[in-house]
Amino acid sequence: MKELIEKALAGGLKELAGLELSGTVPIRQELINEVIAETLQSGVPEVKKSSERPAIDVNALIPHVKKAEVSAEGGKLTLHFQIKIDEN
Amino acid sequence: MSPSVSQILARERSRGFAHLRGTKLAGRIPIPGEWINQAVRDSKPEDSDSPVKGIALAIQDATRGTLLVSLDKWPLPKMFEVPFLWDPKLDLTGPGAPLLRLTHEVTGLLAPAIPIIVGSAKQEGIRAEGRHVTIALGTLLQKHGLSDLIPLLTHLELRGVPGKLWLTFELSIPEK
Repeated sequence: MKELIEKALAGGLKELAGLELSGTVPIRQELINEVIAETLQSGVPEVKKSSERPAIDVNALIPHVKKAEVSAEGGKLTLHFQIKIDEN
Repeated sequence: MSPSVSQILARERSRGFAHLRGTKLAGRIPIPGEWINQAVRDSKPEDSDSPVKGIALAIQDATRGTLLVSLDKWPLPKMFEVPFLWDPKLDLTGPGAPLLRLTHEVTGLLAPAIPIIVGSAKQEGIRAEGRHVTIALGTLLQKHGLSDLIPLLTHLELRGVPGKLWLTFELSIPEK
């Protein structure tokens, strides 16, 4: 299974052609400030280790992002995104 | 260096998605038949003394498939087909959820043997009763590191086309 997933990642996820994901993610200021602090410190705190790891690294989907917008309303930021892996 | 999306998500997972409350996601994901069959092969215990030596899935249409089962040391044919239907809407409640419910269409002398064969495979999370087989996908998701997403699912549907399945889902992280 691992080999199949690695092969798919190497091939640009062609096996997952047609995949669509969309969502809205409210972004709390604590998270934004944390990311800013980490960026300024040029370091990323170690993530608590877990025996569970997703099969596919979500970073592999970034080239397939079709839309990513941030809206701000009432002091609250919300990320709207759409990901699609094209059929060809 | 900025943390990657994966690193941010991994950290949020370890915090129970505390900073992502109110998130709503929806999507459809194709699952190639080859991946499913490899996952079935991988899930077979190495020291299994089960008479089931191999299972391969062929998907026919939206809710219909066939399992090609090969047996060994069993007073039945060495290979036989199990046509089945499944309920495309997965049950998100109860132990082992999401639950995928299959109904086999085997007739004749082989039909009563199906629950016995399923039981003998000793696969965690799979149980058979009469013509019905229930697969606890929560067990499978746990192995793939996705068990913490299960309580967040509000909809999960599995429909087929020849050669692959399409998983449609909706997920919501409650505000509180």
